[in-house]
Amino acid sequence: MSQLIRQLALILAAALLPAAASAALQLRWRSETPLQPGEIRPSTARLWSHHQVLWVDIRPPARFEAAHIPGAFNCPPEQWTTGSQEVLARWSAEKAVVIYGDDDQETQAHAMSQRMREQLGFETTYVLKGGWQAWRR
Amino acid sequence: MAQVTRTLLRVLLGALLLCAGALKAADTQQFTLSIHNFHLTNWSVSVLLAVYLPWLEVITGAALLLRRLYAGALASTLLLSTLFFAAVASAWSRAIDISCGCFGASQNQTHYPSHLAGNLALLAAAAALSILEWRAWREKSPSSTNECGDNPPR
Repeated sequence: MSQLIRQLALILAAALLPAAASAALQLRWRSETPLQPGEIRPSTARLWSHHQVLWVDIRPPARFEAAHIPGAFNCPPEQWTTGSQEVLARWSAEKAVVIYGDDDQETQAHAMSQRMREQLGFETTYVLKGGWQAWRR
Repeated sequence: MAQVTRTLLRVLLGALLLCAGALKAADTQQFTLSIHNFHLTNWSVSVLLAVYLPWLEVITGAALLLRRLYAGALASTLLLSTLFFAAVASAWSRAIDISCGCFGASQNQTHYPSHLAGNLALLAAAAALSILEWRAWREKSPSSTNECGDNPPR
């Protein structure tokens, strides 16, 4: 039994080394632009297929009309009453909700995310890190 | 026959863990999201698990294939398969729609019955291999009628 425990401990410890190296390589972005809880990077969101995401664009309608992520729905915070009904109509269980605005609207995007969780009962919502500008890069 | 079964199970489990771990280790960010979607851990713990678990799978798989630290690798396989089964069962019980991330980013939404069956098969294979190896070791150990003095598998 002691041999088993010793070997198990060795295996658990041996995984730490490559894990630390992998973290140093892959998670370098965290020291540059750390993700807050509930945020998602454009590179990750791009991995999801179109029918898996409900994009919610909180920018002003004029900016939305000029350009937006394909399939996105415009719901500025001041139009929450009507916008929330539309979000509910478009949402389905297999879709993740991803909210984005301009890069200076992250606070508003997080507020919208929290609102959706509290008032619409969504369990998981994401805020796109860097917003529309990061998506276009 | 038992020897062939043991070898087959060992190679199958080893290769499975090695591949699954390598795929996840290549995209830590995506696996972090997959873990976080289970709603069992906060973000920081999800990141730590996403960094560590794939490499534990890789090391465990390699140890099984090479028969090094073998008893520990079997215990680790049992631990991992139990952990995966419990996590998926827990998500199903809470009706959470997730992408499990078992084999990296390519996995779509989880179909729970088939996914749980797969996890159960993994757990059963790990348990069967452990029992078979334990029996083989007991047959060879000095305390049994066979006194060849072989050591337990390493």
